[in-house]
Amino acid sequence: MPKQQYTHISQEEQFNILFESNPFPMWIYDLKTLKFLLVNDAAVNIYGYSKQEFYKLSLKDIRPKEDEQRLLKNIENETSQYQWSSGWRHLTKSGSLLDVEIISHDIIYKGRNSRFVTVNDITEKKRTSENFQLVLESSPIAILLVNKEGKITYSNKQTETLFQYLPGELIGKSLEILIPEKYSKSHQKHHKDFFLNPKPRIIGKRTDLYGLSKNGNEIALEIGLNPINSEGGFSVLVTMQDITERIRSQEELSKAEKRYRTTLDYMMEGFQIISNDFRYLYINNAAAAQGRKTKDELIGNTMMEIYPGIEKSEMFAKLESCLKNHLHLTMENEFIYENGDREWFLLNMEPIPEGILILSKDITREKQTEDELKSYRENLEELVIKRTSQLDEANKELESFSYSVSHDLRAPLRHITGFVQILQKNISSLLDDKNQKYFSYIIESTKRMGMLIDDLLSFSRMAQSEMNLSKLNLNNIIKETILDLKDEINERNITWKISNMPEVLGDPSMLKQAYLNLISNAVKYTSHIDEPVIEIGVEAKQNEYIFSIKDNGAGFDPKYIDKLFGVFQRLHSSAEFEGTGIGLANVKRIINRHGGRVWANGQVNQGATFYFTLNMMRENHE
Amino acid sequence: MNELKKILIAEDDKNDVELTLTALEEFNLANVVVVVNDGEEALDYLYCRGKFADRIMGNPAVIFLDIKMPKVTGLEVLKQIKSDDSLKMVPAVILTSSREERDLVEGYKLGANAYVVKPVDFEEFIRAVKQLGLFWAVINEPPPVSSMSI
Repeated sequence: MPKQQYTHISQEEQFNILFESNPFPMWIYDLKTLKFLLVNDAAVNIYGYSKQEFYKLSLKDIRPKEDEQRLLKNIENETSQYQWSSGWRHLTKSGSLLDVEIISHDIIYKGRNSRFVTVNDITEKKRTSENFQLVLESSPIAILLVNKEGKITYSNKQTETLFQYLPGELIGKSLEILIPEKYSKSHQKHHKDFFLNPKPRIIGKRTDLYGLSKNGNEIALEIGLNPINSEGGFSVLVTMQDITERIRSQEELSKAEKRYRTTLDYMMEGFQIISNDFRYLYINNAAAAQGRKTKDELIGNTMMEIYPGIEKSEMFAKLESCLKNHLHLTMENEFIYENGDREWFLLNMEPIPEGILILSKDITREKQTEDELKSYRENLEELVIKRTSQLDEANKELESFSYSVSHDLRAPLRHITGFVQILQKNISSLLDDKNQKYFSYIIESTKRMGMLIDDLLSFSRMAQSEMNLSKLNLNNIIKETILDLKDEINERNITWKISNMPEVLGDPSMLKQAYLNLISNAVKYTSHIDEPVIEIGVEAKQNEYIFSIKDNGAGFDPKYIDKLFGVFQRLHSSAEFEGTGIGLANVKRIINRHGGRVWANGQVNQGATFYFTLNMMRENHE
Repeated sequence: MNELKKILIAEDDKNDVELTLTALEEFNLANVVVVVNDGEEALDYLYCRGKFADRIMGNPAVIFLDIKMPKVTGLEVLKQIKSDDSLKMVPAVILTSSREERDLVEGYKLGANAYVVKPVDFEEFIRAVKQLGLFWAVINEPPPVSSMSI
């Protein structure tokens, strides 16, 4: 291969080649006139003027008007032979502006003081840089650039906002001012480590990391670190995100979750989640206790493993149906434990994405109560029948007893009376007064015994006989009663004060008996009084009537009021007033059977008042 | 025609019979009284059978029936009398030992005409026969036709 031949060229030729073929725009301008003396092709390309056009222009013509003064001043003050400057803007023929860096040298060109200029068009670079700046500034993330010495060389707006510094205030400050004191030491170590092994990393994701604002507040941060090489050397790009809110909501969330979990764990009802393959996913305390297993035994295992044979149960069929048909199901289930114990549970099955949620409530006691109630109910009827027949029997016995009393007991008494009377008649003429008196005693006694028996019978009849309730005109009953007593009343001058009586619902013969006893008492106990007054009254009160029978007779000692209505209880001797002591007991019984009450008040020799109540009639009373 | 009609008393208690007869004796009524001691005998008398097969035919003027008697009770006799056309016109009086209403109600239901509480003394007896309008039928000559209505 023939060796290439290099030709010698002059220095001027060399310059021309370098000048014309240079990719950077180059020119030489006259320092005095600022006129372009020489322009290369690159300048023609970029500025849009032809060489001829250039040579008619001065340096001022490729500047925006507003930069002119600055340019002139710069040229005036320019003393150095060589200069690199940036921040200039050049105007092209089309009117667009170029951002440029310039390198210029003083030279003598064709005998004139000139300057040789090389232009670097950095428009594109600057726009990119500006865009980048814009991105940084508008980023919601705080961004810092920190140099090897730990000084802040850049901070974006978000950093200033977050740490409450003025724009630019952080530049040149140590990063330490953004770090709370308690982390300062460890930070210095981290900083050193990072520069020993510089690689991108994110910190503060798991460990709590805090920044310090100008006013002393700590700010929870997530921080990213990126080593970068820049003009000033090796730096760290720090990105920081305020995660205070995130941490707060996470804490809130975990608190809430903890609360719900605790609630679930400790609630009275059983709660469990069963997976689609019947595995225990979650089980609360109550559910574990209901199953008589520990949570550890259950979690992760299937129901079939824990309770062999459960897949044949009705409950399991329900679970399958719940899963298959996405149905909410409820059932009462009797669970039989390994040892044969049985407990009832109310189960609520709810299909959920993970499987089935089961709520279970122990209803064993309710079930037992229910069963007991059921058996009680069943037994009750039997019991009622049995008791009724026992009662019937007892009633029959009582009836036959009273019949015996009336018939059998009275018969011999009757005979005694009869024969004594015959005897008295036949032999009284033979007897002295004393013996005749004995005869009359015997007769009186037997009569009295007869009365006692009659009263006893009527008393038991009042208790037993059926009530025939009907609407009663008490006025008539009282009239009849007084008429019945005409023998006792005889010729006595009794003043009667009788109120108009209401209609009541009652058994006519019983209420007549009650009035008979009360009125005959009043008549009897006023027999020693000169001007006897008997008042028969009534007073309506709420939904009942209070009936009263008042007399001005012998009265009674209120000390013995308890005995007044007792059977065979008497507050007066037979010598004073005749009587068997059954009348008021009968009244009490009659009134009680009508649902009323009886009471009395009185004083010795100041009369007595007897009261009883009866309910007012209602529309559809019985 | 001159012969007084009989008074039939069915009573099992000998003391009661004695007392009744003593009371009636005083008024010379005992001779017209026929006493039987139970319900069966009462029916025998009424139907002229048994030991009364030979008696002179004819219904008594009045029948006094004790309720509680052996064999056939007074109420059963009463029931029989009132269901027999030939006997039901005969007045029947129930003898009771008290005013035990159960007996009375039952008696009246079966058609009893009156009741008398024992012992049957003369006053009671007269009260009953007066009530029945039988006074002259049992005590005296038959009354004028006008006062025979029952």
